[in-house]
Amino acid sequence: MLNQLFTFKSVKEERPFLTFLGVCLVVVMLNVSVDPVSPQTIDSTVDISSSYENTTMVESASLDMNDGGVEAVVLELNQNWSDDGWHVKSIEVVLSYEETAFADLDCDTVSGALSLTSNGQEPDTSTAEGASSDCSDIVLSMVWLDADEPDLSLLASMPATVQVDVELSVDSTVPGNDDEETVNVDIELQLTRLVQS
Amino acid sequence: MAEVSSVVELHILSFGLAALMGTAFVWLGLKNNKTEISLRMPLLQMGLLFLVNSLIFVLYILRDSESIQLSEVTSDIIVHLSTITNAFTLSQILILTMLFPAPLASTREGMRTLIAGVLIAFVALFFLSMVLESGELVTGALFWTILTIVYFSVASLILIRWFIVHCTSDDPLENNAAVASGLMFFAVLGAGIIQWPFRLFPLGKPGGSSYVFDSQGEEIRAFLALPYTISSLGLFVFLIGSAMIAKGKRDKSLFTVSFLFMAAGLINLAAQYMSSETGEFRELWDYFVVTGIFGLVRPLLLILLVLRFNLIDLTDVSIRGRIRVLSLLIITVWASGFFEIIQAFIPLPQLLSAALIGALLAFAIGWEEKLFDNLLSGSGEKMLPVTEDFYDEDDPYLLVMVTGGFLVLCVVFAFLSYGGF
Repeated sequence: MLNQLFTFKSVKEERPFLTFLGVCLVVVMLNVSVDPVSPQTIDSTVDISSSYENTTMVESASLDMNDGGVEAVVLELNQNWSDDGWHVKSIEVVLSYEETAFADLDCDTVSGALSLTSNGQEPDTSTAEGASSDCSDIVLSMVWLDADEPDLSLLASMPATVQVDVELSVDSTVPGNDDEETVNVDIELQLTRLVQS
Repeated sequence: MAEVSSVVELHILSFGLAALMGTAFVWLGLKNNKTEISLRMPLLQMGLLFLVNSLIFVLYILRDSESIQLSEVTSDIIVHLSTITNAFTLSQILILTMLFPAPLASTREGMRTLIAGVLIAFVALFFLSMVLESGELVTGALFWTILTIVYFSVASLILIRWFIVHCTSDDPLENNAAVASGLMFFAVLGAGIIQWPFRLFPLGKPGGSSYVFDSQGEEIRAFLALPYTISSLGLFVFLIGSAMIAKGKRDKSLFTVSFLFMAAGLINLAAQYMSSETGEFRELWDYFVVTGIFGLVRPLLLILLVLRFNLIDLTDVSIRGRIRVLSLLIITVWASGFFEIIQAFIPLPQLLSAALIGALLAFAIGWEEKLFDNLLSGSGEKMLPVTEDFYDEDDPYLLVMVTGGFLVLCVVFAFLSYGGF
């Protein structure tokens, strides 16, 4: 079927072409199995550096609560945050309140509990519960790593849900005078991600 | 540095050059009855290849031109069509290697079977790639990849084999066939050859639009390495082979072309390593080097082939006159394309570039007359093996019709590819 000038002849006569085919196969195998040497950047002004980008997310709520009431403040962060490379570095919740009842010299008792549902690691330090009866602020926190350049795999990642449960127990020096209070809840999340340039 | 506008201008010039050469070669292939039909068939196939290339350049112009506002759908379809048409040119190149430097088959029926096999496989591989891509984003890229692996490899091996078997032959016809196969190799398969340092040595990831390796999965790397490794090693087969054969059989043009491609590969290596990966220079270099070879070097080499090996009968005065006019047109367009590339890197004042083009043309016009005389005087020595009565007189028209039919099929495939399974 093939042209006489092109047909395959004896192995001896075909040796050059067979040698070429053999070399091709060897080079192909080497191409696949040997990792190439990456070129060194000669331009010294090109500096591939990494840095961390931080951002703060703040959520505030003002809860008007009755005596014995329990309220929850929920902050949700969806998967998009993780897709963009963000991780949770720390959470701080401040519960603050004042005694607003007229002539009442006894501050109410406020208790708070912080909980987190997320992917990733548990915090390194955590103050998840607190209470106050003297109108002082209640500070709840979760901190993963107290460092400027953390290992991101050790932080919490999204999706994440931060929930602060607040309970009010009214105390009053004037009976029947006080049965409600306003509790301010401030949630601050510190997020961080790695940025390459 | 110039930006998109110079890319579009280069497309326009490349389109002009391809259309000019395609039309000329097709006309000569169909009408020049004084030339043996065995030589007219590859000439015709080259012309059809140029015409399809010109169509591809039109698609590139539509895609890249900022003044033409296309809808997203139209733009996507154009991308699919250019991919499918580029894949079709691989089929045309494979068929060309079956026709030149001599028919690959021993009989006309055998040749028809081979060509039919190439075209049927083209259709089958398209549907196979669609099935493999179904459910994912169908881009036509898999089809192009499969065709590159199969057709590019086979075409390279055919031409390399012609050279290896006949480069030391005592028969001048066979020796000429070896040289012609080498020049054809660089003309139609040359764009990827300049990546040879990255294929033959474990050097880092190169840039360049002809490189698809690192974007594919591990399992396909071995297959993708094959066609480009064959062409890179083929470069050295032709370079070393043409340098080492006996003086009487050595061909200076093949050695010169091989050497220039080898040097271009080294220059490309230096450019890849010394320029910033994300810089404008690299982007321009990668684009213009590949497009420059595709759009400017290929026409030059094919013209050299056609004139040198008597695919056009220059002894016919009327033909010779028309060819000279045509060559002047081609030189003009080519010089404009060449300076378009230069201007992309070195912005020259318009007056200076026009003056340089004028100077180049003045030199070329005087030089082409001398070239024609040399070709005519040496034409008797550069004959190719011809099999008389191999083709029918209808075969050229049949080839044109089949090509036209498959172009229509490419349009249908583009819409199929866009719509997906």
